[in-house]
Amino acid sequence: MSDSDSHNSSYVYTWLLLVVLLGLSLVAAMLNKVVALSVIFAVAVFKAAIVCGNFMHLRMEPRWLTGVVLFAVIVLAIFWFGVAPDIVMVPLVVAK
Amino acid sequence: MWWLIASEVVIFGGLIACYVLYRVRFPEWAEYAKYTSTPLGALNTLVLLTSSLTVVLAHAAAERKELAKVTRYMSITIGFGLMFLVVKSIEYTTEIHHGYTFTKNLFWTFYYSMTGLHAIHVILGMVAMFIVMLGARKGENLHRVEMAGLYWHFVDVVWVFLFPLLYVAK
Repeated sequence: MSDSDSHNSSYVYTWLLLVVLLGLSLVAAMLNKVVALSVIFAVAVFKAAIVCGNFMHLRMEPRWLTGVVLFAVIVLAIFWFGVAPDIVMVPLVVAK
Repeated sequence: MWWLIASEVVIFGGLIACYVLYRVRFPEWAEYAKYTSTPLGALNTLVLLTSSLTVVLAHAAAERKELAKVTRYMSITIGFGLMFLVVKSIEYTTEIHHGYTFTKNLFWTFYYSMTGLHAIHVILGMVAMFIVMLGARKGENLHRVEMAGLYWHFVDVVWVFLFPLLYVAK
């Protein structure tokens, strides 16, 4: 097997894993609500990590690129804690 | 490209963060989420995951300068993008037909905003992919195949989070 063939088959294995994880999240949706939500979101984070690491080659890129993405995630975390108090105080009637 | 992706993380992440906070604040939104189609959402997830495979294969072919394969895989990726949009439009048509419009309530406003913004990104990705493909088939600017691919994978990653939030968590 040539180098390019082995690369391509590793991409196909990654895709198969992603499809299996999609199936897992659909099966998990039938479980108890708390368990289901925990499994579903853990699977989503894992799937995103696989796409970033294997398809986007983030694992093989310089570390500072991972830092760029992590920086965006940190900005999001700050945003989260900034807007959370406002949303918690939204009156119920707004959401209906 | 990674800086662009980082800025997109903040755009989609901000919207998703607000949605999650509202979902926690108003658990009754789970009732509204029952009207989104899980099978169609799952089908679209499969379509986007498969398109991520074809675009990474196009990138691998570009590195080997196999121009015919680059063109073939990029065409297939654009085809998957089109399939995604067709499924999404079927969903939108059904939901609007049942009265679940943008202004029905805050849940549906979030639903249409997040999926609509994502669909716009899919369209932009398809246009970028097509333009890059026109050059790549002649062997020009092959490095752009990777750039277009990175953008496409990001669009896939966003859907990986939208799918459980809008279609599975009920």
